[in-house]
Amino acid sequence: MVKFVEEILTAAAIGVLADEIKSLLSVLSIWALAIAVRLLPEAYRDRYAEEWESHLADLPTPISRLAFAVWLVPSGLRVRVELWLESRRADENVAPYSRLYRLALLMLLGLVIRYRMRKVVEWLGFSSQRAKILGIDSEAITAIFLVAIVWLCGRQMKLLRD
Amino acid sequence: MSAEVPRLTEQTLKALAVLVGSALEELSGAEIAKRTKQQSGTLYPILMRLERAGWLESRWEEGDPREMGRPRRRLYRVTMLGETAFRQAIRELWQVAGGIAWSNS
Repeated sequence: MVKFVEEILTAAAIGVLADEIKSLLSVLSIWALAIAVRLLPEAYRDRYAEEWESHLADLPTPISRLAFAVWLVPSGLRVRVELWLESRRADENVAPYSRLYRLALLMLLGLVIRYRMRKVVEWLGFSSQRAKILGIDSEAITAIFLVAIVWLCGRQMKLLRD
Repeated sequence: MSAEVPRLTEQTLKALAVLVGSALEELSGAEIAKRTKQQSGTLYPILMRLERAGWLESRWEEGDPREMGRPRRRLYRVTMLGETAFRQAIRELWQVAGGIAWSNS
């Protein structure tokens, strides 16, 4: 008799535990879905919230629902980044002169670095003596900066040509 | 719609293949995910890209969610533009594959 009661109680406890786990998983799925929706640009939130909820409802098990919702988080992030990059590209297509301004600015920066590097090194907090001890040669730094700027200018010119 | 042409990665081709293969019926995201065996994190950005490029079109399923007892599905269908682009990409792939086969034999 005691064993029978014990078995009933164990079965009931397992049932309760299973229900608890199921409800926890569904709460986590809803949280993950909400996070994924929040990551989207505002204009897309309503549409994808409904679409993803319907997809979630089509999945058979609580674990598959949670996996789906968790995977949506990078999806939301990806959509946001892609739309942002797209809008940036669109802006640049609308205003191709922005590349010209950037090119001019880079050239100006190159000239400042070329002729005022000593001052820049001092401004960064390196006295000529200390720079020498640290092995920072202002000529070398100038060369590195100039190479970087020439490369950036080349890139801007290529984008302008395209 | 974006003027940008989507990159035809393996996953994009898979999604397009499923939609071109079932051109007569509209498929929900869940159905496409099941057929392509793709994770949601991969699939939805692809669908979004294709839709923005005009290669896919989508609409809400008809019916009242309260009556259906579940949220409405978004149904996707490939457009003529998408189908042409897909067939063109597959033709090019075949040509490349054929070239490799010839150079190896």
